[in-house]
Amino acid sequence: MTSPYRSTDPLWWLLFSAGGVVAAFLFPVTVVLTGIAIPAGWLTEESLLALVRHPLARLYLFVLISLPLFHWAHRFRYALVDLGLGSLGRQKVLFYGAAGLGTLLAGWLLIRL
Amino acid sequence: MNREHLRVLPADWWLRKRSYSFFMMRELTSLAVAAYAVFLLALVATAAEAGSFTRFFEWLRHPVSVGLHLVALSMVLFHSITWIKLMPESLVVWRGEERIPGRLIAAGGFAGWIVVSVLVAFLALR
Repeated sequence: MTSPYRSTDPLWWLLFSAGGVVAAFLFPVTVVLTGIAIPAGWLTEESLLALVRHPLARLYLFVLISLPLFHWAHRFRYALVDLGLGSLGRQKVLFYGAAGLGTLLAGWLLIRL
Repeated sequence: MNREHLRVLPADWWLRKRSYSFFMMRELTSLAVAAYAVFLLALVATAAEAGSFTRFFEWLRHPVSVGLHLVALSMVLFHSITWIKLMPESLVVWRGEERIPGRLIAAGGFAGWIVVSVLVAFLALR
């Protein structure tokens, strides 16, 4: 199975893994913050806004949005094909493209904040 | 070689065995991961303007939001646990001539997960 072109697969696997690590280690606590701490009143509107605008939190949010989007793009692309839906080739452009757009949007919004 | 023309499995193969269903559930946790990333994007987008941020914050206190968060939390926890359990497969660590056992790597992963979570919660809520 030699390929005449240079594969981009290692890049997608790398982003998948990096996003998987970020989601595994940081998503549960962040979901608890937005889904439980806020309704419980542990975090006020003012403190959440101040937090989101903090430079370190912006970096945190950028990493938390971008890499997990690539994790989804890769895993879901293969899961759909495993379910007999769609094709790997078409979904490649669609899903990695969506993750790339999400990354650009996150960067733009966080810089402007 | 075109592997896309090699489909031989029936469409419901993943329902025919518990371990297959477990695998598919694990793969589909990526949907919750993407949904939450998009949610964070919305949070950042509203933070630029005071009025929209107030509305977004009010929505976070709504029972529907709490319910969606609990669904997301269960799927994200499923991802975390399965991911850390698989860490020994991808992370091979040697101490001199001696390979660190997989159980120790997974245990380190779980410990690290707890430490990082407590740290993030502390920084956000202090």
